Amino acid sequence: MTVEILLFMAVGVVTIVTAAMMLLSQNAVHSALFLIVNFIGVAFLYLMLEAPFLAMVQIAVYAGAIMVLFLFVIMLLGAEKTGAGANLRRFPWLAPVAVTLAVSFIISVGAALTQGQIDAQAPEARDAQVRFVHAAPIAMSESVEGGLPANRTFVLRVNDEVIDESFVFGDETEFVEVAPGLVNIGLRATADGQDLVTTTLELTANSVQTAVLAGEEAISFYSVAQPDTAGLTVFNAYPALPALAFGDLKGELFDDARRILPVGADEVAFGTASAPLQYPADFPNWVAYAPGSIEDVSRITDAAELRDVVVRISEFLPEMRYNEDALVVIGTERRPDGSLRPTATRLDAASLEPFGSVRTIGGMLFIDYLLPFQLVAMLLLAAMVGVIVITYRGEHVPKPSRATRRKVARPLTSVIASQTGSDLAEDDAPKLPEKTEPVAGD
Amino acid sequence: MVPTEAFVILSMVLFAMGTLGVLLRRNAIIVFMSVELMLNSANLALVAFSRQWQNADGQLFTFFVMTVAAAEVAVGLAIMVAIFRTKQSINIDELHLMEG
Repeated sequence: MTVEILLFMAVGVVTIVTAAMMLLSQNAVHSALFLIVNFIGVAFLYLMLEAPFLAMVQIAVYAGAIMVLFLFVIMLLGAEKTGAGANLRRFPWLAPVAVTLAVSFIISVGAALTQGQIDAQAPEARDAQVRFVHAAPIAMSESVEGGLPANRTFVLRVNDEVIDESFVFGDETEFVEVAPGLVNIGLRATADGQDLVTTTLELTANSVQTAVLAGEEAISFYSVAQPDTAGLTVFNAYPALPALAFGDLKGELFDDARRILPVGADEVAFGTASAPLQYPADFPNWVAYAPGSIEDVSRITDAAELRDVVVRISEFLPEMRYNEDALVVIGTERRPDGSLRPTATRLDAASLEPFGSVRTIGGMLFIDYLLPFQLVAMLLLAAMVGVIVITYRGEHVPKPSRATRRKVARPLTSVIASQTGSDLAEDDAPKLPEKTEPVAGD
Repeated sequence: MVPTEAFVILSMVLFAMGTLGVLLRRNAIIVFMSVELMLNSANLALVAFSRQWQNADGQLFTFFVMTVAAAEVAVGLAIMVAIFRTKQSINIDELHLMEG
């Protein structure tokens, strides 16, 4: 039993127990609190179901806003205690009927599930996604366009289906969906119909791959899987060197010497990609060099040493930004005279948003479901107006009470004194309270 | 990976409990909370099937159900406040204004 199933069982038990406590508890405040725990458990299940956006909305809207509204109304009405009116049941037959209904519902759906009437087996596998990149400086044909030799174009086929009619050096195709398994890839020259590459790639389900055409003599496709974490992935398509290491080339203060601060622990062999690296913010001057070719990377005095073995990544890609998410292919390109020189190309990291991500949901919400979204917004507005109308009691004017309206012309003691002719003691006489001005701004 | 059936069974049990709450409890606020529980269990089934078919439409529907539930709760609680003002009770056995 995997950790995931154990987690599911734990959270499932929590949701069922809190739902039961919500139903059984006599105090409505306790019920609301149990329901909040239930909702948080359901949000956790959404996370397990690849719906992180919905999980957050569940916590913010359901467990947050709606339940606060419930608690607010319970407190406002003072309706915590609910057992009082239990004796005046109007439908005594309701309890057995309700229990029968619930049990029959569980039995019918459960039977359908166990009998296989509902097709809910393992989730469907998604097709593999693959794109192709041309990074092999294939010797150019004899034809000359405007003084420069033209690149040879190729037809790219996947399982005998044409993906790109004119696949030339530096091209990058869109992602194509391919059924997982062994995939035949063919590259045929447009001019003479010669097959340059016929190879097979193994693509697993749900994977996202970039197939890079690399090499100078022996040309083939090398596939790179999309890494799980964000960062700068560097692909080695530089056939002159067996492996590449990466570093930040810095000048030394008060000295002509320079040094390379290595980045990333691993050396990257030809046809493979590095682990994701972080592109720094402070004017980086990244280079790729052959490990071992420079005697001492911490102090380089020989300029020739640098020139021979180094591919200057940052100079080729001045548009690279801090912490960028990209795939950089280091390879060679052919000069017009036919010689080769190192180059670096930047590709967008990926492409495919994972299922259920905020961007996927947002895109669907504002493109495919724009009208329902607007209708729901109108509904919320109508609900808001409705709430105000229902609870509005008209203008509240406090009735002036009789006590303050009665006017007393003379104190009672003076009336008694004038009728009996004898003064009451001043101390014993009841006195009217001082007239006070009502406090403004009440 | 947890099978979709497990999520559907859990959602079914929660839905049945919500039904029991609606039918058996007398406090209108608890009845309302049970309705929320039922909506939530339906949402859970929607999201589970959405993963099953790798189709995000189910998640969109859950989103809309949540919005409608928010509107429904606001109006429902307002009605409850209005009733409580006149009858001083939210026990639904005492509320039979519409009886002929």
